[in-house]
Amino acid sequence: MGSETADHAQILQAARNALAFQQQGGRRASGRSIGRRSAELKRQHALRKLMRASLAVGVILLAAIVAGFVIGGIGIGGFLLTLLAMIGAAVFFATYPRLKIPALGALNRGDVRATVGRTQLWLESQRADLPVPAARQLDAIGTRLDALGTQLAGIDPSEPAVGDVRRLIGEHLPDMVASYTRIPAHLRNETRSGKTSDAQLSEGLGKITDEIDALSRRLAEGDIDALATEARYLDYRYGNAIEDKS
Amino acid sequence: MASTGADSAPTITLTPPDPVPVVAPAQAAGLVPIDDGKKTELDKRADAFVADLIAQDSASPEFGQRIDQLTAMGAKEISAAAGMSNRFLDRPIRAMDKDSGVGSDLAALRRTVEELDPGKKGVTTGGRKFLGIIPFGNSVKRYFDGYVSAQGHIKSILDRLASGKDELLKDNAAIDVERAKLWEAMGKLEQMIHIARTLDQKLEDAALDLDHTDPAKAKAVRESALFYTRQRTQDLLTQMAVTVQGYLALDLVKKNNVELVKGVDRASTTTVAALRTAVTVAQAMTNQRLVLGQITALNTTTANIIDSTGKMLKDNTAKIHEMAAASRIPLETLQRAFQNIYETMDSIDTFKLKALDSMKQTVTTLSSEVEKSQGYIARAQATSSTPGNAAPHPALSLDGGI
Repeated sequence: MGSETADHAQILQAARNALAFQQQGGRRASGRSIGRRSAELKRQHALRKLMRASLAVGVILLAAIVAGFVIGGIGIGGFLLTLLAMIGAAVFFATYPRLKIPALGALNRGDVRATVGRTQLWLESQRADLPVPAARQLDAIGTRLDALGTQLAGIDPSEPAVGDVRRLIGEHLPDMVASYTRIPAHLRNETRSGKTSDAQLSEGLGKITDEIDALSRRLAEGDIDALATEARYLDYRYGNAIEDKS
Repeated sequence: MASTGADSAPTITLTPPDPVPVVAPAQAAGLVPIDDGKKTELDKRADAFVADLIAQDSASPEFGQRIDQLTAMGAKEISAAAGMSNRFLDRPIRAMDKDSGVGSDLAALRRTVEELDPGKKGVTTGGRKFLGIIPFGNSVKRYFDGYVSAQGHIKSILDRLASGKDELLKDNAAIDVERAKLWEAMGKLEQMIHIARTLDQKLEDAALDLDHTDPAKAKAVRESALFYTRQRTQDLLTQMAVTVQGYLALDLVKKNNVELVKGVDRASTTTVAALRTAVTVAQAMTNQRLVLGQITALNTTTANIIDSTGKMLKDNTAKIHEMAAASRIPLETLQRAFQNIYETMDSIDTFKLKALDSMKQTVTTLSSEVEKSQGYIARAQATSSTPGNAAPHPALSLDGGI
């Protein structure tokens, strides 16, 4: 009997741990990309690493073969040395260079679409430092940023809305997150003028989410209008919309 | 006199729209109706806001926060409407350019038609006399041969006119869409104006009540809340006036386009009618079979034009034919047909002159009004970007469930 209660306690404890783990975001919390664009950046980086590693291994192999021909066989020691060198090179190139997380100030440089990817990468790196609700909001922002990035593809960069996108995701969003993470962890729960830092962060991220939605709507507005115009034109041209005017 | 056929076509009148008048901010409100249910709801919100404001200590940050919310009231609506004002200023200006595109085609048509004019060619000096003087056939034949060589040119001009007309229709479609959006923006502004005015009234009442119980708070309400409410009301009214004017200006451009389309239709049909008359007359006079294949093809398309002139053309063709065949003076009929073209083009010219005038006038008033409103908009944007509590109170924003 006694062992059974111990089992129960153990099971409950395990369940509690699992719940806490899932509440933290589960396995997705670490390493998961918050958007397609950052995932793509990571994939490219991994591919480059793989290329470098295989190139290094190839070079070492070639060197060993050449050395074997020149000195007439490298022997078991040479073989082991080659093997070791190959493993070493593979490990080294699989680790370095690490994927550089863009610096806060560098987010907003260059093309807007690149800014989207960079911001996603940067947000991923900050995700672990944020409270769970904020991290969830960040995930939602990540998917929205993907959609925004796709929309930005066909849009003239001199359009005023593009400037707003740049400011929002290149400055306001990272600034919000960065100013939160700079606050020491034990002070984040303290209430200042009615609000904790956590609540303020949540509120700010909510506002940013809404603003991304609004921007996305604004970017699509031209196309929506164009469709309406086209429909109305067909009315005029092939319907009888003009007859009541003439 | 040949009082039938081509002659009987009613003269076309193209009425240029009047220029858009200046809309004073005071007149601007009330143009877009708000239904009563919405009005009571807005009133309730204003009530709730005032009650909330009065409940705060006038020196507390909460009171200041409410004042900030008053200052930000309607900022979103104003900037949304202002964003459209640049575009509606753009329209009349572009419309004036488009006129000239159609205008040059019309001028080209006129030149070509004038070359075929039997009067100018000296083919006629009156039917019978002409037959008496000139040896039978040749010169007349040569005259009608001119049609065959000109038909390709005329067809290309008419094609260009048709595509110009399509442009105008497309322009009108875009204007319709834009006007629908402006109407929506105006509806929102109207609601904000209603809220602002109700607030004004309620705050005034509240201040009067407070005079006896809490004079300090009454002063705060008057000096900050009421002051900013009135300022916002003025901003909203100014933006409303500009938007209304833009709305009217778009209508002006649209009417202008509709008239131009009518003119283009009419010019095409009268031209085709003249050419058909020429075919009949040629047959009657010289027994010459004038083959204007391209024009005949055009004729069917022109007859399909939705406009009533298409119908007129169809009805009259039979008459023209009959008359030209029977008349002893067929050339006069042809002359009449040419006269019809000239009349149409002249009326288009006068129309365009007047329309351009009212368009210019509209652009001038609009740009000065828009410029005036820029000051207010700048204020609206400045308040919406002040740090702190720039977001309007839910009671003062239209997003919440309206």
